[in-house]
Amino acid sequence: MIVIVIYISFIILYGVIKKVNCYESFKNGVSSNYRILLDIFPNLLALVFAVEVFTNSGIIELFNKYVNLLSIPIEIVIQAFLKPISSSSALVMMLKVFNTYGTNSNLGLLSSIIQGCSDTTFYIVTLYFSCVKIKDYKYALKVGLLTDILTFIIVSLFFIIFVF
Amino acid sequence: MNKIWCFLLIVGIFISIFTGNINNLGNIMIDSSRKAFEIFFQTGILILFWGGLFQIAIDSGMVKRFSQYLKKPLKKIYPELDMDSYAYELICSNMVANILGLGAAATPIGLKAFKEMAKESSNGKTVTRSMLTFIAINCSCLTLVPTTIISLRKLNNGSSSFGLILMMIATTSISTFLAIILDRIFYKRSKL
Repeated sequence: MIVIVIYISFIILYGVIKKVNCYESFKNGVSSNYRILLDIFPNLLALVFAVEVFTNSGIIELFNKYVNLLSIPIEIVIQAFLKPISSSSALVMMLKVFNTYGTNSNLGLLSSIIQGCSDTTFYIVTLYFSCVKIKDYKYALKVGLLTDILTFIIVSLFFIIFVF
Repeated sequence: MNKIWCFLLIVGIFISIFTGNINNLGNIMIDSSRKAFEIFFQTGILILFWGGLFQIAIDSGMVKRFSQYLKKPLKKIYPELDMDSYAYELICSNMVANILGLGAAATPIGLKAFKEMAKESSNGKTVTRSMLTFIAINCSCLTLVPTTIISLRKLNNGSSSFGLILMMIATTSISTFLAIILDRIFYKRSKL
């Protein structure tokens, strides 16, 4: 956690040196994020509902029984699959991994890394293109998704070889 | 999104019938709203907290300052762009915001940069090479300070060692590198 402490102090000190009204800035930043939060909640509720039903259905036990070769549990596969589509649903999966396997376990680590290594490709591509009203995406989606897939494979291989 | 949502629900219910978990399912369904609120609360306060901090970083000019250092290296990635243009400056700021882990603050800057790039391209109706590169880099999201993940791990009684942070930096670098390479490959192929 020391990294975070240094980072936060650095931001605040920089603000103080530049004579910014840090208190006001902080307040403004918080209030401008309220709207984002309100947009997130309905999405989150719907997703948690679906993910809970899915993961508690016994599919994990089934999956573990038959596919034990890779030693990567289905939660992480689902998380990686959801990551490019919806960040909050991947987040739900990550918290589920934390709860079942422990935050500090190897799987918890792998899950955190997957969550951190890329952004929500579909969301970004549609958001950016809709704001300039261009309909032809060309190869934007392909590049984004291929990057996501390759990164997931590299990270998992790395983990299987060095950690497990 | 609709398809995925329905798929998860239908497959979940279907498998529950087979495995005999159907008795628990009612509890799980009703309990999920409580769980959703817990997650919302956990991530929500983080978004508010970091949003506040990042506003200080933006107001103090820290983001702008760092984006100056990026100008030269980024020229190699965006060969078509004019280095003095407003769009280029916004691109650098967006990248700095991402690198510092200010995800939420990076998006508005990125959108502005994208609009500016569309304006500067000759007709503004078709997407240009640099716009596609910009999207690819944004999707891969290079981060040196993974603020959200570290905070979430902390809230779930986990620790974030320096090694983990290094590993995360390594993976985001790999994915950004891959994005740039793939972007180049697709660009060359589309030209032929």
